[in-house]
Amino acid sequence: MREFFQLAGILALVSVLSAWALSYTYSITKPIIEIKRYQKKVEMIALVLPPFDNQPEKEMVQISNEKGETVEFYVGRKNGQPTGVAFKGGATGYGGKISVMIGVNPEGRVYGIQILDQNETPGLGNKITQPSFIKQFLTKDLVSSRWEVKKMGGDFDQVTAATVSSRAITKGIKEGLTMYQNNKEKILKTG
Amino acid sequence: MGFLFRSGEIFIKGVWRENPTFRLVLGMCPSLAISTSVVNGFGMGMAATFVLLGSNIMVSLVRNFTPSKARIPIFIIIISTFVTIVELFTEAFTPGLHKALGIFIPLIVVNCIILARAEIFASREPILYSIADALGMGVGFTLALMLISAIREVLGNGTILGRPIFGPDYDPAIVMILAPGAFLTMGLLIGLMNYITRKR
Repeated sequence: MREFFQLAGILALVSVLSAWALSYTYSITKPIIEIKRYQKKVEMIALVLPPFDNQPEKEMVQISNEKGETVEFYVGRKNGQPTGVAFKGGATGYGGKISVMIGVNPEGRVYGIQILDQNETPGLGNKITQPSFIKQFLTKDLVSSRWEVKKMGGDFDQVTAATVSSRAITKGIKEGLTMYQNNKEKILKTG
Repeated sequence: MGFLFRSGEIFIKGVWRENPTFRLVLGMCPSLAISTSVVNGFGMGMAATFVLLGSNIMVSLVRNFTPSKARIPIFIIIISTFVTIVELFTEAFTPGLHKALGIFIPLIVVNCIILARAEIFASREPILYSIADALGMGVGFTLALMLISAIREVLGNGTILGRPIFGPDYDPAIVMILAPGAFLTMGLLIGLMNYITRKR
């Protein structure tokens, strides 16, 4: 019985010390991590938007879609006039979720695209991050193109041997554009 | 000066004679999975070395107070604490590396090299030797990962440290970047290592 309490006591002591070390590390790294994440977001928004002179990350409109997910739209303006809107889109690829930052001009034509996160197969699926694949979406809108890869009867080239990844990006952008079109007035008016 | 000599010996042993990847064949999961580029291999090696160093020091410090019946849970608490610290620090200061290593940072917890060194070495030896052991094993692991990932990156992606080396016409052998390439490279290297050491 004595040994039992001794063991429990030592384990408890080790746990308490470890918890202290962890909470201390967490408290010093948390603000840095948050700043880095925010900077990254601001940087990505700026990369996909036409020139602007406001702070789009502060002009944010939240809209929920039918699936119950909330998408944040960031409005870029120059001299008070909206020049473009940036928002996050995503779809499920071959190796999990792919998320992209999409920038459109006010009419809903694609202006810029940045891949934020992807875990596609290195050497195959991750070629979707290459500019040669991404740039075919620029200046396209919902009316001008059929948003599918060519293999499935659409207008966009797929990456060879990576149809799933290519389709995921195409679908993600299409869904984002559709959502923007449906909520255009609300997004551009406020903010 | 005897202890310095012994520390050096322990260090060299971890790098070569008991190299964790090629000789002990421990920690295969991260070695196979992240060795797709030299940068990843180096980052994973350094993260594991830091955890190994921290856990070996702690385990060696508390070795005289550690009841043998409760030693494994205590080692695991110590190791997981250091892993979480590494995870938080890499995310705060090197977000790019953090993203590349992804799930494999938390998985250092179950990297058997670290628990094995705590159990076999640090729980029996004084702190200086435990540090030498951690550094030797860590450097050995890092070098092994860099060797594997250099081969895979060159053959499978046509680049070294992200820079193309064969020119635009090179068609990379994609299999080397995928899982089978990891097994092939690892198997051949272990074979080579066995061949070299047998000759001596």
